[in-house]
Amino acid sequence: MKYFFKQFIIYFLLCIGFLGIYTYSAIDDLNGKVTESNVKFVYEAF
Amino acid sequence: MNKLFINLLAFIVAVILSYVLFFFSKTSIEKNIMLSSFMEESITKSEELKIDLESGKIVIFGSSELTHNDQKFIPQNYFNKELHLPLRVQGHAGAQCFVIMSQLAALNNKDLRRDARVVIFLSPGWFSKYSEGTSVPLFLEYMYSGMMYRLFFESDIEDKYKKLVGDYIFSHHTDFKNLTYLYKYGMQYSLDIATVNPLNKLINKSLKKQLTIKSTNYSLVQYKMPFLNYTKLKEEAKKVSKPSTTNNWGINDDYYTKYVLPKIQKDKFPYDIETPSSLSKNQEYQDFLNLVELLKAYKIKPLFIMQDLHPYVYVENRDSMNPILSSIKEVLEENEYGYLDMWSYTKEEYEMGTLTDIMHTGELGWVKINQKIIEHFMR
Repeated sequence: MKYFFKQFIIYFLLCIGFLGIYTYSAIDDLNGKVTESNVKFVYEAF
Repeated sequence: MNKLFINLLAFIVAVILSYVLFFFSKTSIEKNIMLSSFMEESITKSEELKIDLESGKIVIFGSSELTHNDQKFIPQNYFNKELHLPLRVQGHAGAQCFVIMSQLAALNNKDLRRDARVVIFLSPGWFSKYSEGTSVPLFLEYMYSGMMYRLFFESDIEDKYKKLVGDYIFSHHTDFKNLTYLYKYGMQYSLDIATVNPLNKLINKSLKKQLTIKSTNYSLVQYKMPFLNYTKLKEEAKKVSKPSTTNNWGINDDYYTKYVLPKIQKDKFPYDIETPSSLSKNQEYQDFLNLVELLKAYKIKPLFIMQDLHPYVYVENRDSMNPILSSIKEVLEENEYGYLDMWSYTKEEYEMGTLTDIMHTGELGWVKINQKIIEHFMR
């Protein structure tokens, strides 16, 4: 039983951590973080 | 008890409990989403194009030729200022078929399909030098968060177009910096996991609940055909064209001195045209096909205009454009779309002044294009 609780706590923290990171990073994105480009478009007459 | 079984049981209980906990914290999530007005502002930004399309205003999608605002006959000047007929232009250098398709997909609805009057300016350069398709900076410029939201949650476009956008983000993901939620959602869409992800469902539900998309009232644009003397207008166009005294090809002096003359002096003249070995390897052509497919649902047939590359400048390998041009023409004719082919198949058929430089439409060219727009939409 002790082993079960130990494992449960580990998994529970992992799940909460994952859900928290995923959701709050999404909220952060929706609150104004802007996706940018790594590359530049250089237009030139060819 | 078997350790594996204990671990499995502990994991399942942990997942269930954390999800229940998470479910009850959704009010807090909703509040956090509303911390900023960013999404509302981004959606408002997309409203203007949506209204213009839905109201039946002529909307031209094109690229660099649309930025020569000093020309008298360029459509945005000629229609709005001279003829007092409303017209919108959308795009600048690099805005190619894929980002045009993405915008139309994002704003798709029944009103738009019924009333939109769309003109697409095609550039031969898209299918040759820029045949790899729309670049990420241009995609992001026109498919900002508000447009991405509209595409995935507001538009009634078929899933395959949403998937195409997702596929684009997925295949170009290394060119994106700080991929935010809506773009990641697009990538998941490409992998068919976006709608089954329970976390997405929770976030999307909160997002939809909190966002107020204001619908703006508008009245339908009605066009009455203006009676114009095109012979006179062509004469006037020649008079108002930028001076071309340094060459015999009608290329304006500034452009010729800055770009063409140095190439002649370096013996890098005439120019050549490089095209992909086949249409299936020409990404821009594939994007063009998808755009044509999307426009099939429009009640008012769109108008496509293929522009020219100067036949006295782009001489080498010019014939390589022929299969592309004939395929484009065939596809457009099959769909009974309007089409104006400005490409010069021989030097003799080119009229000086049609282009202002080596690839951008000049005053004379605009008169011909304006005539086609009027005849197509104002009969």
